[in-house]
Amino acid sequence: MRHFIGIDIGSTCTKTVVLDEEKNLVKTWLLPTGWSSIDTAEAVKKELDAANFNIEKCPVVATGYGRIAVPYADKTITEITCHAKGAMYLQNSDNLLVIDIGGQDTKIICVENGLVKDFVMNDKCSAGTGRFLEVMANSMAMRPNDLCALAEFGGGVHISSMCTVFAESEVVSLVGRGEKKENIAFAVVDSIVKKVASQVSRIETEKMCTCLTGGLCDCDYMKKALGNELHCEISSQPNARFAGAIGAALMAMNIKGKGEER
Amino acid sequence: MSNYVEMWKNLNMDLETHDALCQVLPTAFGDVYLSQENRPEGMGFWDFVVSEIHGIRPSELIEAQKNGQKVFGTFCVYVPDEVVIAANGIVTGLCGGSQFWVPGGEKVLPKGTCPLIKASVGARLDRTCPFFRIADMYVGETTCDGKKKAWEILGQDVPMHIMDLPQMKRDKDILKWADEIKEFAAVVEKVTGNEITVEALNEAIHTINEKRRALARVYEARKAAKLPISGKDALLMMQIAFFDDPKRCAQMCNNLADELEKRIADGVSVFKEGTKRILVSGTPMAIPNWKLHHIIETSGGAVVCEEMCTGTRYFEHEVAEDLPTLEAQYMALAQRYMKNNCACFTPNSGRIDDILRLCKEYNVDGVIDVNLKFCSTYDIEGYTVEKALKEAGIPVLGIETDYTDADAEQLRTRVEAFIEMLG
Amino acid sequence: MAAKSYYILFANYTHGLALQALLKREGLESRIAPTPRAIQGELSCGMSLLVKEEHIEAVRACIERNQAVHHSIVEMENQIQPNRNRFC
Repeated sequence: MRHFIGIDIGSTCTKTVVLDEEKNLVKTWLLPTGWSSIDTAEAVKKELDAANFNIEKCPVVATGYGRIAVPYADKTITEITCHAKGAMYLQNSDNLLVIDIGGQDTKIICVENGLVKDFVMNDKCSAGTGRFLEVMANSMAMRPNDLCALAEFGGGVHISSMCTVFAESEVVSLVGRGEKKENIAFAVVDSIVKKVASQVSRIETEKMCTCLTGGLCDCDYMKKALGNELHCEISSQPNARFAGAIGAALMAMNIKGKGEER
Repeated sequence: MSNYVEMWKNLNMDLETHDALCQVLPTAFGDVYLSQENRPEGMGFWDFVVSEIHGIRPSELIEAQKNGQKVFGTFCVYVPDEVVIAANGIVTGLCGGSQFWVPGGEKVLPKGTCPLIKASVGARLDRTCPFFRIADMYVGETTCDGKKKAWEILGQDVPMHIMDLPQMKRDKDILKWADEIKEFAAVVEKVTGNEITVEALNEAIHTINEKRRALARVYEARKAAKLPISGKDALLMMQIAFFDDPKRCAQMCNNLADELEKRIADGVSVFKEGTKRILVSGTPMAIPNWKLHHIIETSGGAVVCEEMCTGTRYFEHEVAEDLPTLEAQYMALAQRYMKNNCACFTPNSGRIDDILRLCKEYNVDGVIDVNLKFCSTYDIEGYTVEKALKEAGIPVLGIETDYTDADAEQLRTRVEAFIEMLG
Repeated sequence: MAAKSYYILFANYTHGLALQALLKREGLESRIAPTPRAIQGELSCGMSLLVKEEHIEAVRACIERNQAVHHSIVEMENQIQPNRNRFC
C-alpha cells in the first residue's frame, strides 16, 4: 500500500497527515510550529519515522508559510490551493466558499467545479486572524477557544480599532473599566467576524456551501456568528483544521515515480 | 571609476548615505538579474548602465552642461520631452524607486504618502541622487494630490515649473493641454536661451517617435508564444529609457529587438513551456523597483507586458510629424499625450479598453493589478479593472505593495497561488 | 560546497568594456555586473566582469596572453540568491 504525506507548516501549528491509496485518512499529527520552521520540519520527520512512514518512499507535499523549510518535500504548493483541495475532500463537494482563519492570515477561497476561481487574503495586518484572537485572549488571561465559547453569552460591546495593537489597548481599557468578560469576548469575536465578512464581500459568489477551516473550526460560536453575519449556514468537518495538510497529501498523489511498486 | 567620487563631491552629495545604496544595489541586481540564464546578449548594455548608474549618465549630463545645455528633470509621462529637445535641452528621469530614499521623504511628508513621492523628495532633500543634483529645472505636473503638495515642498529647494494637467478628456481639455505645452515651451526657451523653431520641434518629435517605435519593437517580441526575453529585462530597458539619451536609447532597443526577433525565428525562449503569461497593470515601477516582477518570474509566471507608465503608456501612440506651424505641433503633442490613460482622469474607461486589448495582443493567462500603497486613484480604479477583467473571463489578482522587503513572502504566496489557480 | 564566482575589477569602465569585447571574441563567457561593495576597495560603485568558476582559468590565460588591462580578480562565494527576498 502506498502512502502520501501532506505537511502544512502554519505560523502557529504544523499539521501533518498521511493518506493511503484510497484517500483514507490514515494518521494526523498536530505540532506547535515554534520559532524555526526548519526544526519543526525535522520534528515532523521524526514523528513520521516513528510511525513507520518513510519519507524516502512516500511522496511528500509541503504547504503553509513554512513550506520552503521542508527539505525533504518533493513539491511545495501554496496553502490556497491545498486548503481548497482539502475542503473539497472534507465537504465532499466541488463548489465551496472556504473560509480559513489561520494563525497569521485569513483566506477566503472560492471553489467552482473543483477549481480555485478566486481568493482573497488579508495583507500584512493581522485583523480578523487567529493572531488577533490570540492577542486579545492573552490580554484577558484566557485561552482563545475559551474566549470564543464565552463570547456567546455576551453582547452590547464593540471594539472599533481594526489594528491589533490598538484593539488590544481597547480591550485592556474595557477590562480596566470592569466590563464583563463575556461582553469583551463578544466584542473580540464580533470584530473578527466583521473583518472576515468584509473580505468575503470582495469575492463575487453565487450562493454556495460555506465552510470554515483552520484553527478556529472547532469553535461553534465562531461558526454561528459568522453564519449570522453572512446569512448562511457555516459548515465545518471534524478534521477541518487539517484541510491544508489533507490537500497537500492529495496533491502528493500526483507525484509520479516516487514510492511506486517496481 | 574613482572620478565619480570626485563628481559626487562636486555635486554636494551626501557620500556616506549614498554609499549605503552602493552596498545594496549590487546584491539586489545580482539576485534579480544575474540569476537569470540565457538572457539576450543585448541586455549587456543595460547591465552596464545599472553598474554605473549614478556615474556614467550623470557625467555625460555634466559634460553637456559645460557645453551650455540645460537639463530638465521630469516625473511623469505626460510631460512632452519633444519640447525640451527642440530647444537643445536634455530630459532626465529622477530617482524614486527605492526604499532607500523613503525615510528621507518621511521627514517632511506624511507617512501615508505614496512611496514614489516619498522616495523622490527624500532623494532630493538627502542629496543622494545625482540626477536631482544635476537638473537645472524640475518639471512637475498635477497628476495627483500627493505630487501637487510635494512640489510645494520641493519648490522651496529648487526651480520648478508645474504643468496643469486636465483631469477629463473633453475637447476643451485637450486644447488646454496644448496651451500648457505652449507655455512650457516658453519656459524652456527662457531657461535654455534657445528658440524653439518648427524645424527643431519637428526633428525632436521625430526623434522621440523613433524611440517609441524602438521600445514598441521590443514589446512586440514579447507577444511571441516562445518568450525571447524576461519581463524583468524588458522592465529594466523601460526604466532606463527615462534616463538615457533618446537616440542612443532607440539604437540600443533596436539592437535588442533585432536579437529578440532572431530568437523568435530560432525558437529560443527564456521560459520553459507552460509558464503562465502575466500582464502587470497599475502604478509605475521606477528603477530599481524590481520586486513584483522578480516574485512573479520566480513563482512560475512570466511578465509579458506592463500596462504602466513604465510600460505601454510610455511608447504607445505617436505624435504627428511634419506639421507646418508650432501651433499645430503643440496641438499634435497634446493629442498624443492626452491619449495616455492615467487613473487621475475621470472617466478613465480608455484604460480598461487598453488592458482588455493588451490581454488579447499578448495572449495573457492572467492579470496582476498592482497598486503602490497610498495611491488612491489607482487603488479605487482597481475595482473597475477587476470587474471588467472578471466579466471578460480573465483571472485577475489585485495587489497593494510598497518598496519594502517586508511583504515579499506574503506576496510570493499570493502570486504562487494565483499562478496555481491559472492551472 | 557553494560555487565560487570571480569578479574582474577595473579602474574604469573603458578597460572593462575592452576586456569584455576581447573575451567575447575569444568565445569566453563573462557578464557585466555591479561590483559588490565588499570588494570595491578604493574603487567606487561601478562595473566588474562576473566569471563563472568553470571559465576562470581560460579567462586568466586570455588576460595573460593579451596583457589586458584590469585592476584585479577577486574570488568570492557565489553572491547570487534569487530567493533572498532582498530588494533595494
